[in-house]
Amino acid sequence: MDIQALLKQGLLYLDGGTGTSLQARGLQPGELPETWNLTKPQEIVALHRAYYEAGSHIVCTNTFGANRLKFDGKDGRFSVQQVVTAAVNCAKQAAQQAQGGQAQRFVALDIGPLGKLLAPLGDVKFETAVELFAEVVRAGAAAGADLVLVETMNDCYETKAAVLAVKENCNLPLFVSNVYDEGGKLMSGANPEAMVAMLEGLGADVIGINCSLGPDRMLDLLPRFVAAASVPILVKPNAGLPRAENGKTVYDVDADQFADTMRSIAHQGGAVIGGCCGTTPAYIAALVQATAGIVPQPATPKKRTVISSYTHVVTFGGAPVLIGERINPTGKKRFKEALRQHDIAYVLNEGVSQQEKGVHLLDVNVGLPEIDEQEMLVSCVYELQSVCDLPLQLDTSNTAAMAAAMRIYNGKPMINSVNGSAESMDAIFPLVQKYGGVVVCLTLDESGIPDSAQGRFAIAQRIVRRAAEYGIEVDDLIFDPLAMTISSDNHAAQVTLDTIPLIKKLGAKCSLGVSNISFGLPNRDFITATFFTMALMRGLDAAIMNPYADEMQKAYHSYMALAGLDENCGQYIAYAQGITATQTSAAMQATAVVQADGLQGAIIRGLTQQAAQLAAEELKTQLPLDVINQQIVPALDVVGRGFEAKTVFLPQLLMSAEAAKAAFEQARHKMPATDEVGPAVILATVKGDIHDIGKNIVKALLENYGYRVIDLGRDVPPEVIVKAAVEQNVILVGLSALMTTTVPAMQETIQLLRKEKPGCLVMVGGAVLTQEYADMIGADFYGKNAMESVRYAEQVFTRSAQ
Amino acid sequence: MTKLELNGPVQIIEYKPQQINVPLQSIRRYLGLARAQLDDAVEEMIQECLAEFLQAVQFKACCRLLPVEMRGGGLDLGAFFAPGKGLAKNLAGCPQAIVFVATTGMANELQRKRAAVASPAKALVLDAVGTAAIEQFCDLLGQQWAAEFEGLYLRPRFSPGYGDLPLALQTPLLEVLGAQKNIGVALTDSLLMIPQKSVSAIVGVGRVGCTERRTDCSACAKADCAFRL
Repeated sequence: MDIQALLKQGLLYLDGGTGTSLQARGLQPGELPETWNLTKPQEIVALHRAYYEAGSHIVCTNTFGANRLKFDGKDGRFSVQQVVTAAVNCAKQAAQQAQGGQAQRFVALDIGPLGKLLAPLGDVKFETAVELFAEVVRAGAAAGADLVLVETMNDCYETKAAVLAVKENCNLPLFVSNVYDEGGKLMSGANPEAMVAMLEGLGADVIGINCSLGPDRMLDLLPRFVAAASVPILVKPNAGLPRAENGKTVYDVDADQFADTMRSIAHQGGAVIGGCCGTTPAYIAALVQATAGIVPQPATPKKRTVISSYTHVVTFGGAPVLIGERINPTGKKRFKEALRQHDIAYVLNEGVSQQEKGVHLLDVNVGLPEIDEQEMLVSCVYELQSVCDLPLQLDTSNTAAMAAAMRIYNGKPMINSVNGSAESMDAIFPLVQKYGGVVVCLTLDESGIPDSAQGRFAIAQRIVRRAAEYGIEVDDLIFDPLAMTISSDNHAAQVTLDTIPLIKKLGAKCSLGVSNISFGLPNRDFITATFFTMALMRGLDAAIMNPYADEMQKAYHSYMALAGLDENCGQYIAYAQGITATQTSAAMQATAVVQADGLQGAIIRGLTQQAAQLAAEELKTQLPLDVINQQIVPALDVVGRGFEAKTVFLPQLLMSAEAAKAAFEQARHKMPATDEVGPAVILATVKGDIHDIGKNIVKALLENYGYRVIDLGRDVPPEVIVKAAVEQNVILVGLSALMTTTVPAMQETIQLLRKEKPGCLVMVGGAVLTQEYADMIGADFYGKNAMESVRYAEQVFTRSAQ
Repeated sequence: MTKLELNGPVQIIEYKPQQINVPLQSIRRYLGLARAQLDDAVEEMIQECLAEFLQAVQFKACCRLLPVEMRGGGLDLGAFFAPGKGLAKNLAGCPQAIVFVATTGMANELQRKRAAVASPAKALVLDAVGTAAIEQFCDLLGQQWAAEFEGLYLRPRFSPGYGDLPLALQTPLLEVLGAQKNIGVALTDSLLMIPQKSVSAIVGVGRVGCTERRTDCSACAKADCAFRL
């Protein structure tokens, strides 16, 4: 019988601790447990055999840390292939030799974390992680493992890398288990609901929790898994907490207490159970005995429409979901400029500000005909996820870009969109099948948009059927019945609204890009907000909308209060009172500053909001260039000189820089669209160094002084810096390093630049640098602080202009 | 709380945000404002950042008590060998040492990255708050251990990268504490810790204290330091 069939019949027993058991068998601190597969196979076989004989169906191979980072096959070290093959053989041998226990015995290829942190937080690239895991999977599958257990993962992104590696390199059943803290979160912040959403989307067969906690704490968390998961749940606790007793490590939950709690766990939904650190064959024997005869609750489909980020889920079908529409170049001159200049910081800022306005997810559309959309979408998704924990709606009609973005997305994404044409469904549904996701389905097809509700409904039915062929449930579909402007067809809104209840009958959810409804009309927000309310009344679940539009915010908060979704009207009151408060206080402050010393004063004091307001005010009567040259630049100069004279300090300098930037943005809106930009300067924190605060400060100031900063980020290899300098013909590069250990990387970068881009000047800075150091590594300039870097850039570009 | 035992298992310590009082003076100091006049806008931002920081912070540490033996050019701590004179001098006369890693957690890391997008000034202030907070946390851990080892003396904490103690020691030190699994602190290829606001160190425990009592700015000769109090 295969393991899937067995899963349906009753409880499935895993083994207990491996590492702690090997320590008891004499494994020394610092010794890699996996080497024993080759050096002491008899010990490994004996341990596995003891677990089989205690009643485990599944024994996990001794391959927890068996990846290339530790086993590279060099300098006398074993290779992954050697260690994994030997490990699977040990387990198979034990399965054959074992007496008693279960009739059915399986070998699970065990995969633990890499012991390194994935980028963007750490320095292991996602695809590198996938490949490291893939190597283990290929070796384990070839050696004859029956299933794969990905376990003890404390990072959502690393879990996804491991799961993809398994799915792409074998056809074995896949169990996935994460480590949660007492509050029910992974180290990287994900909760059980988020992990279940992502893992079910990726096709895990069993999902669960292991290590770190004892059985009691896991029992507490179990209901959350039961409520969220449609697949069986795995529970593999530690034997409580370790402590020292007479020089030995003991755990505070004994075998009987362990088995006792595990009985409750089996009753309450744990279907695949075993033990982790500190548990031994005796614990497993007690567990098997205590749970004999318990029939686990069958895993049932939860019928929920859920997407996730790397921390939390957003569920459709309860309170309306707001999807921020602002990351989209359509009709936005400034946004297009930013995309053409690869200014990802601008896109990130749009994301963060929309989150502050209360949206639940962000639509991400960064396509322009003249740019590489795939590269741009992947970069934006990746960078957005490093600064914003909202789930994303990937919005592109470019299938390759969609595939690449879905692959690197950390969580279960929303996909925008598919339509009723065969071409569209054949492109998108296979991606959803592989990576998981909730798809926005537009009710149009090859012959266009039907002008009746029935016509749109017919397309929806067709999409549901086709999705089912790919194994995609109706819960993972959200239909967009298409809002068309009423300025060209008076009945357009009615058709859209009438389609909503029809679609809801299919058991699917509805979302609308509401803003289209008012296209071509004055004061569009009035119409859009009312339409939004009307659609909510008909059952709309989500809207793609502009969160900066006050009318939309009013409609949303009022609807929540009126629909009984806002307890004691708490959120409404906070919102409504907030509006009055901020409007008055900002206005008052602005007036005070105007009276004092106007825009210049606001910049000098570092008052960002007021600077923007005052700039907008001045721009009504003055030319943008006059505002810049007569107000903003002089104010910056006052602050810059103050900093040099040590009367203004770094935080104040930066606050003024931000205020100036806000004023610049106002002026920029009034200027004709242009791709002409100031002179380019490359900035990077060198390879090996992850400290970027200094680099970011220099960036902020250089931008203020009109330079176009090409920010390559942190931990940047020399070749990347040189490539950018050559390709964009940049004559000034700024390098930052905080650690003495990374100064050599700075030197290496300078040497490579000298070779590949002669004439390019290099300025360096950072806590450990001195003029002597800078001279030693051959830099052209040492900037003691951010202002000095600006002054140097001024010199360089004045000289080059002459 | 269980006591640290020689060669015992890793102990994980958590502090609640309200247990740690991050000194405003330290924050100002890390911002280079130690000798600057107070500025309302900056003070307001410090307060705002501190509140935000405390909402996300997770003060966590993991530690073990290891034996210390002087051996050819360094110290043998059982689980690893620490070469060089600096640590040997610091730990002279200590038969055992507490080895620990402490952190303010990953949420603060994300918070700083996020702040950097919209406001470099805020990112700078959050960075200073983080530094002040982790230092304060380590000081409190020191007090906790001083109470636990009553009658013995604790040496000032000594970290890989100080003096001649190689940064390479980060790898075995974090490994022996299971720092990534236990408290989420990982190393980059260049041996820096993530989250950035983390400290790894060795604290000697002995029958005598060290001769250098001063650990504040007055112990340092660099009179023109921007951080000097």
